[in-house]
Amino acid sequence: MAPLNPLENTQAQMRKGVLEYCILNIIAQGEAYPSDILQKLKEAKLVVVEGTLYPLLTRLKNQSLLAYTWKESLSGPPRKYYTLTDEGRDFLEALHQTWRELRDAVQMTTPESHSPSHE
Amino acid sequence: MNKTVTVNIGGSVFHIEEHAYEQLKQYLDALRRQLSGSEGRDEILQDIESRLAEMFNEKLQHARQVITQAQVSEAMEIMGRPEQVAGTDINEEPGATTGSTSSSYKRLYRDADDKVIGGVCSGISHYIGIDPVWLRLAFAAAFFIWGAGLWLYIILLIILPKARTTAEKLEMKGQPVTAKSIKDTIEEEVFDIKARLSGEKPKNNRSAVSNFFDALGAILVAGIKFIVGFFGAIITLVLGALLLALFFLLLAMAGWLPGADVPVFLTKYFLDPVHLNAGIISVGIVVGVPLLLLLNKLIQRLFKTPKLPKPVRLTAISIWFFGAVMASFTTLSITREFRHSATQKNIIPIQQPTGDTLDLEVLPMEGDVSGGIVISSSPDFEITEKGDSMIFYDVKVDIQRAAGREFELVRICSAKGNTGKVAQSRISSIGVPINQTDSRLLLPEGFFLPSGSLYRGQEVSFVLKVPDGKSVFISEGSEVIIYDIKNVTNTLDEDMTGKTWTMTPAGLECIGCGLPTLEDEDIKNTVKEEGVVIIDEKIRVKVPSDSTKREEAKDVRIRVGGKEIIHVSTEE
Repeated sequence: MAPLNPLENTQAQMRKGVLEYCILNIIAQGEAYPSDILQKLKEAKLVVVEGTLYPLLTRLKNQSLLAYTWKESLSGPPRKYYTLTDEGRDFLEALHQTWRELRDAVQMTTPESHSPSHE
Repeated sequence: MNKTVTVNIGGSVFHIEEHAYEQLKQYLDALRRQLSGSEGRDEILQDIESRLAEMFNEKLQHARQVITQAQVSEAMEIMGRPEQVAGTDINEEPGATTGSTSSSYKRLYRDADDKVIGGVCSGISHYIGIDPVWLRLAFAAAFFIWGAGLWLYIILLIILPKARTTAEKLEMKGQPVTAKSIKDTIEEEVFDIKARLSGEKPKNNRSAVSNFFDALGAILVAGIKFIVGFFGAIITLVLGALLLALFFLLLAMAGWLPGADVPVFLTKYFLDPVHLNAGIISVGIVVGVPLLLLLNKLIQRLFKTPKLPKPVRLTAISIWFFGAVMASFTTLSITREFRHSATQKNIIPIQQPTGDTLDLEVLPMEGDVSGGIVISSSPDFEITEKGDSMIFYDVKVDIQRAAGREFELVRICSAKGNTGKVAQSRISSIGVPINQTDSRLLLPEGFFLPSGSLYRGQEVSFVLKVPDGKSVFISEGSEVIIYDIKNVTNTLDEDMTGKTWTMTPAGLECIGCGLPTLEDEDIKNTVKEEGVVIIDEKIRVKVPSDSTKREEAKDVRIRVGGKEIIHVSTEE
């Protein structure tokens, strides 16, 4: 693996945590299969290449935050549909809290001109 | 020109260019290496493969299109470089390793991957866990029990679904449906395909018996296909012709086909227009709809045309039920027409003949003579239509013993109807001509009904009552009307004509019948003494009028069992 330069490394670190949070948010809205999730992440410009999603999903599943069921699809082989487990729900609740704290922290430490807009 | 390869990507089959396949394989191998440290590597790879399959599916317009290198490159770009994919999640903490959801119950499928004919036996073998060869042998053996094996196999072939998807294949084998098992299965299949491509035999522990059955199965399938195709075509043609014939027949029966009269069925003499039309429509539906569906099915099988859409099939079934209900109601309604019967007996006054003998003759019906339309000439049901009346040729004449000392004629008319009253009124419309001149009694061969009448069991019969000691001469030609007349010699109706029958307390007896059939030689041989002929009961004796033996046989006596029954004297 080519070593990442310091900037890329920091960017990747930042994105990684946020990405996980966002994925949980998407799945919290209802069961979803990877292509659904990818669609939303692409709209949000959080994901550039699709391949990054799968390792994340697998890890979250292995952490028992997500569960999936196989469902037949009309157009092809069965698909995995992901849902949040109860554990995942608690986890996400905690993340909401963390996110608010982080946002405040960023706001507090950033000069007025660079502050991220509230959306 | 590029060589193509068939691969299973994420459970779907794709045709892919060989170079594109190499590229894709390298990509997936690289991913595998990159993810080697990850906990759920196989699962991740499986997910990625599924997604790739989805992308290819979106790109390809139809199943036969081939995946090109450009498409593989594009998909790889969307998916990201292996290090990008792996880079997002390197730090792994050991977590739960099992899939959180899996189903591991067994289901009965047909196994199309290991089949001789339809994969029924191998499917069952997965389910109950014995070698399919034994099942195949059992089915083959059962074939010889009135073909039971064949029928059972065909039924199972129809009702058992084929295991199509990887998940179904796993269910068939009773393995849990997890990402890992799916991946393993797919890998196995890809391996098989690869092996086949490189000309090797697939790694499959098949016995020689299995291979033998494979070959046998292939021959059988080819043979059956040929026979089915050949006979299918013939049956389709026959069925089509049958349907067309049925259609025209029904039209003709309804009288909707101008110029075509179908006398055989005589429907208009049995059914009123309402029943006729209802009957024709319902029979057309009840027979026609299944024939039509069968025909469609055959055509669909033979020419691979698309299946009928569901609404059409449902409509056809509804129409059929409607037809069946209509047919039942019509039949019921028609049978009601025959429910009640009425009979009328009349004593017809006749003149007593001057002699002791009454001549029974047939009165010819006018319709026959003056060019009426013969509608049916079947011996059981003869009808002629003439002017405003029809003639039904159905009259029966019986001869019985009279109680008194006079000849008597009884006429019995009967008919049927949905009520007794209707039946009675039908009787009153029956016309029966009779003619008598002195000793000649002429009884009709048929009876008249007003034109347009329906046949409702109308019948006319006569009983001629003959007093003891008096005779009836049943003239030649009367066999069309006399019916089962009892007599002491049990002579059949057709042999009773042309003879004179005398009523005795024992019944009708033919006095002159015993006579005359032996030739001169016989008489010569049987005349024992003084012209007395002794014969046994079965021999009839004829004394020819020009016999050279006439002088010798002036006086012929016939004795039966010692008792003299006939004494013919040739002397004037």
